[in-house]
Amino acid sequence: MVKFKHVVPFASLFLIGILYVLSLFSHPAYIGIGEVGDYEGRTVVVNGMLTGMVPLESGAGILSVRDTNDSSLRITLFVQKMPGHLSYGDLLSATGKVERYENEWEIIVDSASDIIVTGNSGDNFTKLWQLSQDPARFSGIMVNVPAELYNPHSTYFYLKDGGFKLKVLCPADFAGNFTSGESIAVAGIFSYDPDNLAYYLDARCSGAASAAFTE
Amino acid sequence: MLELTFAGFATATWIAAAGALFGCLSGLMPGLHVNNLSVILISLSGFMAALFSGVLPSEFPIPFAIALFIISTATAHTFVNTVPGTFLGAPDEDAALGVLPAHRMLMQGRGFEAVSLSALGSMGAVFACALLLFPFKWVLSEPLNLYSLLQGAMVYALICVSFILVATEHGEPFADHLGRGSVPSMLSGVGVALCVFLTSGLFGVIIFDIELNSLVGLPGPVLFPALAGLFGISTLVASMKNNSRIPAQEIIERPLPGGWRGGLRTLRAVSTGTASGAMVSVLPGVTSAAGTILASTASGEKDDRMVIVTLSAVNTANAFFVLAFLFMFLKSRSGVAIAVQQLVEVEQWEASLPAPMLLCILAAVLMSAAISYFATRLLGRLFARIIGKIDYRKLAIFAICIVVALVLLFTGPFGILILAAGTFIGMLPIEWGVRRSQCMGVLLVPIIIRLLLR
Repeated sequence: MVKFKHVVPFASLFLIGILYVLSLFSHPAYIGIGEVGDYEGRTVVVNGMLTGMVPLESGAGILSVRDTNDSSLRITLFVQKMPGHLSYGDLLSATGKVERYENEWEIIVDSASDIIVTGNSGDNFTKLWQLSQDPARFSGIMVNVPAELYNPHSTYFYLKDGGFKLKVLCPADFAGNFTSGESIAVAGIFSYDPDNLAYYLDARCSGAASAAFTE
Repeated sequence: MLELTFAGFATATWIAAAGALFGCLSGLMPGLHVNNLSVILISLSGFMAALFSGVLPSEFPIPFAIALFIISTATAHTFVNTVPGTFLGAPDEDAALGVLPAHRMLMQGRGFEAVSLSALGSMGAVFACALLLFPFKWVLSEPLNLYSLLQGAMVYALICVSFILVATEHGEPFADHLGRGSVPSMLSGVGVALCVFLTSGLFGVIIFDIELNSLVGLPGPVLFPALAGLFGISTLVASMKNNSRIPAQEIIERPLPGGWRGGLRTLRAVSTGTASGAMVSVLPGVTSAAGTILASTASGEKDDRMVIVTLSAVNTANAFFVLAFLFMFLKSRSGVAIAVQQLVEVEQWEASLPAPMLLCILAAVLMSAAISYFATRLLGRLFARIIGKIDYRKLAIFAICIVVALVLLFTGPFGILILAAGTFIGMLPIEWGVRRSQCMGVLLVPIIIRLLLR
C-alpha cells in the first residue's frame, strides 16, 4: 500500500508542472496607452515611442512614452533599473504594473529587461536633454534637434526645450522665417566654442534644413 | 497643508478609534490581507466621504480623515489577524510563519497565551517604532543616505538567511535507517530540507508572475493562496489526519521568561522583529512575510513565545515604517501607503521635524494600537472559551471552506489550483519530518532571483 508521505512529493511536482504549463498561457494584457486606466494594479504590456527620459541617481529613471498613432496619448514609465542606451524616437515595448501616482497613471517597470526596444520611429531627432547628458558624444556630428525657437536674431537664435537651451548659428535671415515660440527642428553640426566654454549648433553649413516639428 | 490644532488632534483621535474598531472586525476575516483591505476601503471612499461630511468639523479635510481611518484600520488589522491564524489555522500571507508556533501552543491549550503574546509583540513594536523613527530617517535619508546601500545589501542578507535556514535543519527523516544522531542521518535531514526549500522555491518562481483574476474585481495577490496552502490548509489537513483534538484552553497567562534576563529576551524579540520589519519596508515588492523569515533566522529563538512576539512585531513595524518611508521618499510600499497617496498630498519630510500630517498619522497609529491591544486579548479570550467546545474536525473543515471561498473570491479558479499545490508542498515537511519554515523558499527564491537580476 502506497503511503501518503510518498504520494505527497509526486502530487506536489505534478501540480507544479500543471501550474507551469498554465503560467505559459498567463500573459500580461497587451493594451493601448489610452486603456491604462482600466488596468489599475495589473501587469500590462504597452507599446509606444520614447519622447523623454529622466535618469535618477539611484539607477532608476522616468521615461515618457507616447502612442505612435495618437500623440495625445501619453504615459510615464517608472523604471526601477534603467536599460542601456535609449534614444528619442525609440519604439518600446514595456511590461509593468499600472499604478496611480499624484493623480496620474504610470507604469512601474521592475527591471531593464522588461523594456524592449523594437525599433526607432525614424525621426532621428536628438533632443536637447540628450545633448546635455552626453555632449562629447555628439560633438562634431550632424544632429537634428526639435525644440522651440525663441529670441531670434539675424544670424542666430536659440532653441528651448524644457529646462534646456541651445544657441544656433544660422544662415542670414533664416530665423525671420519663424516666430518666437514656434516648434521647429534644426539640423546642424553640434560644436563646442572654447572661447565661450559653451556648445552650440552650427546650422550655417549648406544643406542644413529645418522643418516645422510637431511632437 | 494640514495645520496642527488641538481640535484637529481631537478629531483625528476619534477617527483613529473608529478605524481601530473596524480593523478589529476585519482582522477576524481569515486570509484577508491588509493590502486587499486597503483596496476595498479606497473603493468605499466615496461612501466614507459622505459619512464623514456629516460628522466632521468643516475645517478638517475629509480625504485626510479617510486616510486616517484606513491607516487605523490597517494597524488594528495587524493586531487582530493573529486570532483567526491561531484558532482557525487560517492566516494571511504576512502571518503565515507565525501560525506554526501559535498552532503548537493552541494544541497545548495555550491559544489565548499565543494571542496575548502576539498582541504584546505588536504593541511593543509600535513603541519601538516611535523610538526608531528618527534614527530610521537619519540612516535612510539625511544625513547618512544609506537607502541605496541597504537596498543592495538586502539580497545578500536573504541569501544568507536561505543558507542558514537549510543548513541548520535538525530533522532526521531517515533516522530509523541511518541511526539517529549519526552524520548521514543529519545530512539526510539537510538534504530533505533543501528539497523542500527548492520545491517551494520553484513553486514561488512559477506563480510569482501569474496574473490572477478576482471574481470581485479586486487585485488578486498570488501569495494569498500560496501561503494559505503552504501554512494554513496543510496544518489543518495534518491535524485532521492525526485526529487532533483541541484541548481545553487555559485563559490564564503564563508570565514571560522571568527576571531581567527574561525582560532582555522579550526586548530582543521585539527589537529583532521591529528591525526586520523596518528593513523590508524599504524594498519594493517585498512583503513583511520576508521580514518574518529574516527575523526568525536572526533571533535564533526556539521558544515559541518569543517567536510569536518577534513575528508579530515584524508585521506591525513594517506597516509603520512603510508609512514613514512614504513621507521620506514619496514612494509607496504597501496598499495602505498607496491609499494615502491617492487621498492626500503627502508632504515630504525634509526638515528636522516631521510634517504635521505625519505626526497626526503617528498619533492615530498609537491610538489604534492601544485599542487593538486590548481588543485582541478580549477576542482571544472569547475564541479560547468557544474553541474547546467545538469539534475540531468540523472546525477545520469550516476553516478550510472559508479559505477556499476567499481564495476563489480574491484569486479566481486559478487560485484554487495554487492553493492545492501549496497544500501538498506544505505537507512535504510535515510528512518527511523537517522544519515547515523550509517552505519559505516560496518567497525567498523568487525575491533573490529578482533582486539579483536588477
